[in-house]
Amino acid sequence: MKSTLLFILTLLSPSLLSSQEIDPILVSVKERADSIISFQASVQMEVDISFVNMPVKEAEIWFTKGAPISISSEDFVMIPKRGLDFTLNELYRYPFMTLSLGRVQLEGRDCHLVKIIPTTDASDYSIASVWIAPETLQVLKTQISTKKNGVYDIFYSYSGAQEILPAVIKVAFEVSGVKIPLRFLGRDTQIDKGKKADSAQERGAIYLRIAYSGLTRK
Amino acid sequence: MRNLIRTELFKIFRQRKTYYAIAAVFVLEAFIMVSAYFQGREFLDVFLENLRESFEFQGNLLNGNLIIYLVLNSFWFHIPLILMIVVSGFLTTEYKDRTVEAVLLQPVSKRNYIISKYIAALVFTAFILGILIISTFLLSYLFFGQGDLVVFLEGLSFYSATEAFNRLMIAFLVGSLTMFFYAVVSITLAVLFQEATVTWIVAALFLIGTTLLLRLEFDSEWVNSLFFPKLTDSWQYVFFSEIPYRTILNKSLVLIGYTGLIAWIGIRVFQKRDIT
Repeated sequence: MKSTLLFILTLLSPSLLSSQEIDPILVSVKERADSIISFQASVQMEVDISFVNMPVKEAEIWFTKGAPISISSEDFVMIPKRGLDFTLNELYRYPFMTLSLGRVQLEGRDCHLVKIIPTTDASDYSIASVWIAPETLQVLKTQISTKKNGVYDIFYSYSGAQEILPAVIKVAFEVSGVKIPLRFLGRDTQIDKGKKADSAQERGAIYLRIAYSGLTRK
Repeated sequence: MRNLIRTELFKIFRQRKTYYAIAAVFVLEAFIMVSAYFQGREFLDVFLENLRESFEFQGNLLNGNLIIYLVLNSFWFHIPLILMIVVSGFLTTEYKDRTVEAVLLQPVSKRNYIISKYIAALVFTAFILGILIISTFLLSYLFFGQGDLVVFLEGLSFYSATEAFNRLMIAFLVGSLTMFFYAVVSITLAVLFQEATVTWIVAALFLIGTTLLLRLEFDSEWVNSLFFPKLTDSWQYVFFSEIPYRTILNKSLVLIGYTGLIAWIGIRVFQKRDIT
């Protein structure tokens, strides 16, 4: 599957050489993100899934370069598997090649679109697209096709043109409807794992509103 | 009248079966807690399996509020069954021991006597529910701690610990009306059938029938709002994201009406019937 994809991309690419070099704008974005040494933030999480009713949750997050992000909350929180990687380090974790698709429009804004293609099976995603605002080097959107958990569309909004870290992140994903009808946990219900397995996929989203404190950079 | 009620309550709390009922409540609670301890995580995993593909979870959902919610769900069948068996015994035992005749040989009106039975049954039900509610909250929080509540009602609803506590309290209070209804029904069944075993069987059938009929959906909203089996689930509405207070109030008022009607039927039958 991956080799077919690479073959097609190679055919479509105007230059084989340029497709295998790391996109310079992405390199600039990465260097900018790499300048972040640590930060702390308060996050408000709002889940938007048709079959989930959850109040807005609050959590504290800590990031230190080279370590996984840590999250703490007094409540029960659902943390999206993608979207909290503010510096996109997860995408750069394994060897990859990039394919620059040049200028595109994203919600009326001029963007530079780059495809990131891992060159090793160890990666947990098969391809990622990154929309970058070329003037500010801010990532506006990523679309990550994971190997196990479907496609994530992640939208980033910033409080200012100079900000490296986003103030609002929307993570959109595919999710299967829950049909677990547990008699003792609710009304009109019985366990039916078969039905649950067949339940249709739908799109859900989680909104993260982030207030940073203690951002340290090189 | 007051003396009659006092006498009835005295008799109730001198009877061994009263303490069996209390013991049954504790056994039920213990059973739910032990099952939740050993199987709760498995159920929650099944519950959240699909979401686990997109999310990681932080926090404990197997907490005191979930246990209280599970105990509350015994309002569907177990608690009414215990109440109906014990409460109907308040009268059937007296028929069997012929104390009804002995009491009515005294200057006591039949009407006052049977009304005092109904009132004593309501007081006993309130007492059992009080024990259930207090012990459930205390033991659940003691052994499982606080935390968010997750329920499955037209989707997954999560409530913060404070919100969960408030909703659970309201649900217990609203559900208590259903328990009072069953208590009154069991006294009326005792009036009608007199014999303990027959009354128990009819009471159990009544409960099973009500639970099954609850699932019937009629095209007419009017029928749905007046058909008594559909009035026994008001406490579940407390767990909808937006609590439909109006619906709960309407259902509760109609259920109170039914409770009064069934008590009135029992009183009339008891008054008209000769005690032999």
